[in-house]
Amino acid sequence: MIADPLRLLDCSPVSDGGAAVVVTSADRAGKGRKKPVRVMGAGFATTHLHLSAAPTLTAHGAGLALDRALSFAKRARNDIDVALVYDCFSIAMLVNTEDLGFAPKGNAGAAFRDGEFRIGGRLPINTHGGLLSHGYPGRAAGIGNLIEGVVQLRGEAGNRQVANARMTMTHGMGGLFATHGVLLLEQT
Amino acid sequence: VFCYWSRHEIFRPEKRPQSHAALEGRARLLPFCAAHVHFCWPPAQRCPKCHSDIAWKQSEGRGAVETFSIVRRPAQAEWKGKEPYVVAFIRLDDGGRILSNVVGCAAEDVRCGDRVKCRFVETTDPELGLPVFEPEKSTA
Repeated sequence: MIADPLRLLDCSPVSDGGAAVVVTSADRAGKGRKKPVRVMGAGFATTHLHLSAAPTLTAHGAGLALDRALSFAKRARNDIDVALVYDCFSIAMLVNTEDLGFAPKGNAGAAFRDGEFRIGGRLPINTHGGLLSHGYPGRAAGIGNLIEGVVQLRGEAGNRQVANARMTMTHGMGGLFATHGVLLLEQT
Repeated sequence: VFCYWSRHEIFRPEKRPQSHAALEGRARLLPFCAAHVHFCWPPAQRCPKCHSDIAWKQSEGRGAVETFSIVRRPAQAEWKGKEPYVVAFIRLDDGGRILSNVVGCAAEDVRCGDRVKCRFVETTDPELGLPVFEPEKSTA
């Protein structure tokens, strides 16, 4: 037990690591050696700074950030083929998955157990293992999620490839459920 | 305990409560947002909800445990040897939710909804008191 009720495997392992993405114009992107993906929409939402000032302790701003990104991109939730959800702790995965609208409140755990979010399921989530299994190299952790979205869209994910992945959603979080950012990427 | 917020403006000598009487355990002075009628902790320069000015105000210091966790692996060296300890959100009767510890009872005995009252403990900064809570019944 680390801090009730979180046990060792409920906590993402702090690790070394780095991550980077190259953002450029559509014109230049096509001239690289790698197939580019298109940024379709971005959305941010902040409901509080310190968790003690949160409007509620069971729902936060991830869904609002996704709504804003979808509106930006003129897309709908069911256009998302792969979701990368910020899971610094197991409870963050459950709360964020529900707030993003992928499972009703209180039901994310059962939905994961039933396989709804595995590869081949209703909506594959964190195909690379997320922070909990892929590691938590500080700020690079969130970009790791973004990179998995790019890898899936390029069809380079090998045995974890989601068939026909055309749009990915990457969700990142800062603070204690305080600030949420969502980026929608699409195949070119 | 290292207090990052001790650098906030409300802790500047001229703005601190006199010799931080809170330390004596009687005054129960906490940062207060008059616009939202709530106390806040950790302290902030501005109200975390509306950015209004924050001032020191006396709290009745009574409330209830809203939620909590029992920490078994301290994240900071200063807390080593004090585990297990309870980190909790306390709902104050006179307004606000503050982050604190529940002390004065076994960690396993704490429940959501427990009635608690505030007292201040010393920190490594002799002029700063840290509000903690203990069960009301054991200190009545």
